[in-house]
Amino acid sequence: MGFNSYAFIFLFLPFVWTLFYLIARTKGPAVLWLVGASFVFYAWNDPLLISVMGVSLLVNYAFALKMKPESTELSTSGKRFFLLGVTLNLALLSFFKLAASYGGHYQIAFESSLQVGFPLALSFLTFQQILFLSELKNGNTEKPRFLNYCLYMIFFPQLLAGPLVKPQHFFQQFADDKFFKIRWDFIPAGLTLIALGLFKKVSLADPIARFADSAFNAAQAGAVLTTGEAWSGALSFSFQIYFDLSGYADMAMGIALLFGLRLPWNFNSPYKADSLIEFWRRWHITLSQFARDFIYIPLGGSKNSFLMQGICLLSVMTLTGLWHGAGITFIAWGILHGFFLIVNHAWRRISPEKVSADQAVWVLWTKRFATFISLALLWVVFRAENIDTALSMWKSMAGMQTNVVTGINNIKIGEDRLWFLAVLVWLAPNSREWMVRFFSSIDPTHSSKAEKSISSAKYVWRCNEYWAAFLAMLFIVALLQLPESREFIYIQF
Amino acid sequence: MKDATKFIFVFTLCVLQVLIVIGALNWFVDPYSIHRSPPENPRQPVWMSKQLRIAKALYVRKLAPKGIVLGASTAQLAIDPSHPGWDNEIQPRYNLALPGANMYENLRYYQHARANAPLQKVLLGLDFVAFNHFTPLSDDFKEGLIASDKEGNIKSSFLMKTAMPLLSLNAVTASQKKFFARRKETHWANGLEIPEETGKRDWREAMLGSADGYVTRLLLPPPSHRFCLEDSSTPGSALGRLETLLRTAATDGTDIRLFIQPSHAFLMEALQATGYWDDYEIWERKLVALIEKINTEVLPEKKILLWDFSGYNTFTAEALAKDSTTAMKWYWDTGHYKKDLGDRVQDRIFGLNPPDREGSEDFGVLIDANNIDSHLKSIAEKRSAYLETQREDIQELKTRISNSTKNIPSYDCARLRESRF
Repeated sequence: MGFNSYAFIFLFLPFVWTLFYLIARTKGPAVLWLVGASFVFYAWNDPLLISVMGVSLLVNYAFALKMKPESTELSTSGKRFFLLGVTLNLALLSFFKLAASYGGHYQIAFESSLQVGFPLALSFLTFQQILFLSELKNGNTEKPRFLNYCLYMIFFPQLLAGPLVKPQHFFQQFADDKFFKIRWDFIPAGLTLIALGLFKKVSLADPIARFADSAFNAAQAGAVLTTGEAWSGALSFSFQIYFDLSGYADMAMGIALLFGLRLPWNFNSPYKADSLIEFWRRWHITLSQFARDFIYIPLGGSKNSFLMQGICLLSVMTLTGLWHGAGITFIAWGILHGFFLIVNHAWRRISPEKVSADQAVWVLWTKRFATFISLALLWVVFRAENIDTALSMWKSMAGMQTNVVTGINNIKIGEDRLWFLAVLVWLAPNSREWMVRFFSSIDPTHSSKAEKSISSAKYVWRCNEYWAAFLAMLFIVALLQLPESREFIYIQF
Repeated sequence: MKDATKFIFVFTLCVLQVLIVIGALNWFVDPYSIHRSPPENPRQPVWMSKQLRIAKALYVRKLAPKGIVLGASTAQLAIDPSHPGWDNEIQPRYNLALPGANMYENLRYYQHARANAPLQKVLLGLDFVAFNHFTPLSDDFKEGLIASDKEGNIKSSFLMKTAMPLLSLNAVTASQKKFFARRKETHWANGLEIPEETGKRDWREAMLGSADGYVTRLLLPPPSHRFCLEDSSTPGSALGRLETLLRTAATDGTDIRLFIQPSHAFLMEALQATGYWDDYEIWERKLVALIEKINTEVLPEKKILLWDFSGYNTFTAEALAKDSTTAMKWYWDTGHYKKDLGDRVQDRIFGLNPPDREGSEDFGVLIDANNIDSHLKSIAEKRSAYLETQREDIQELKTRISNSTKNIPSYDCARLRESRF
């Protein structure tokens, strides 16, 4: 079940929310209800695959029990269980990833094959399990009760495509009695983010996707695209994936707020980044942090050796590419990102003085533009079905095709939409800025000084009837387009 | 708390109010004709949205027809499900053909109709271009509206079928179009399309220009401008889809009749001019082989029959007048034939000889493994005779096609097959 479906918006969410608060006085059954509802959420399309999730929960909790003895020091056997737990989690993920890459079939013996699908949310479940075991190993969290642990792991707003939540962040809020009472002050903010997220996904990302599909499908079918057609496809996909993930992140946060839970921000205007390094601090933030903490730093990337840093960057980005799928296009995307990041780091080493907070506006915008163009070029290989398609697109974008005929490809170009989305991406405030007053009010440490300075701006969200009516309109526009909506892109990874 | 309550109240009220208004308007205008009882008279003219795939999918849910016509725009414009050849007890009947439908769409709409009611009879019009590997899926095709999954199992889509006609932007657009259409009907209630007014039609341009357009838009469709015919054993091939459709129908005991469309001879010449005539012959042979296989494996007693109305016969070889105002008797353009000819197609298929309709012995040949060679040979012979009489028009046709295809690079379908390994 996706957040952008009638079943979720009109049946699942209202029903789960209402019943939870009706029985919330008795905590055990209330938690059990949320865990059960989360299972139903994941099992909606493929009930059998829920068993994978169940096994993962049981096995990891068993490891957690072994890992956390009474003493605060982790015993040697505890470390062994940690490593074993991480290995098993990654093995499970790899098994299903590889199976998905081979069309869901594993060859058993020579003639028979086992058909397996990719379990929804398994990627983020795996990462969150590793995060949990790691935090437990480091003594940053206590061993929770099994039911609470299950809720932390599979609570439906957070797991489909992140954000990854640290256990202490979750259990701190969960331990508060307010969790089991309706947080009326959270609900308007939750509705706001749900409406905004749904609008971004259904009314911005999905409509532009048609233009991306048109160009990429044509290139894949062998058409030679003109420069304009190829750029239209690349830019359309760049905006599609941007608003897709941004919409998902807003909806996840909004749904969690309805249940009184704050999730970490996962998206922070990544196309406003003035370098690729900065981009990865703003794009799928918790996943980037996970890759940094569990791959980059353990490999030695934080050491002051440029060679080591480069090797680590390439390794992290290749693995990141591989995680998206075992196809050559994802691996190429990862390697290219790694290479570009190395160049970016090299540039910073050569001219460290160039990186300053008070750089001229034109310098900032030039950097932003260059970063965005680099990203758009890299998204091409990410979106393309195969390397030939990507090469053909790049060749067209560079104007290097020799046998181009204009007007016969029938490719849709949404130039006005692209301009509109570009303005939104670069000039409009993001959700975090929109909601700065609310989040600062519930957590004074939430916002930076710069964010707090805009809290009196007119575009900052307020809990009043005008904002309610405006967001209702966005919500309605999105609802009317819901039958045309697609799955969130990151869910398939 | 007070602000929050006010916010929630205003938000909820706005959403509900607007949705109720939109839903009520769409229900009242009823752009897909599903909120009232279907007209009892199948020949009653009705307005249909240009979102035909949505409109027909929703209408079929309402009507639950037991007899359907499938195919592309050719069948939609000419094959009348109210033809007397259909058994009277098969009611209701509906023309579910869709413009530009490839075999995947035909299969999915067949599965959709089958999921709504057990089908007793299906008439499937086959177009050569619907079997092209590179024919794209139409933009308004929505998997979510099909009442079965791809394996043909019935799936529940209550929210989709309820929300789509009431609370979707498509419905709002369709309502607006219907409201301003000033009751200008587009179809008959049985799904057959009402032809456009042809008062000022330039018939020469309609015939020659459409043959040209047929090549650049249908035979070699954008964006790839390629044509490849795949075997039924190739996963996802059009012939494979047809096989699935036929096997399902045969297993269900549905009476399914197939026919190759009676395209005008100009269209055959367009295939000759572009070098695809050999593929056309291969296609016919593959169709015959596929049906033979299914008849042997699934239906040893009751055979599926395939009629071929194409080639150079009394109707398809209709001459084009030199002036542009003299209307064609049987054709709207090279691909689309008139209902009168469609009625004759059905006369042949259902074995009727109505006294008020002159037919032709050479129109429509039942083809199978025994006569396919002689049939194709016969077409080639008739072509020679035809060329003698239509030399000038054919030359003009070839010139037009040559001009419009000069920028389209050729493609070797072997590359497609190699890319799979």
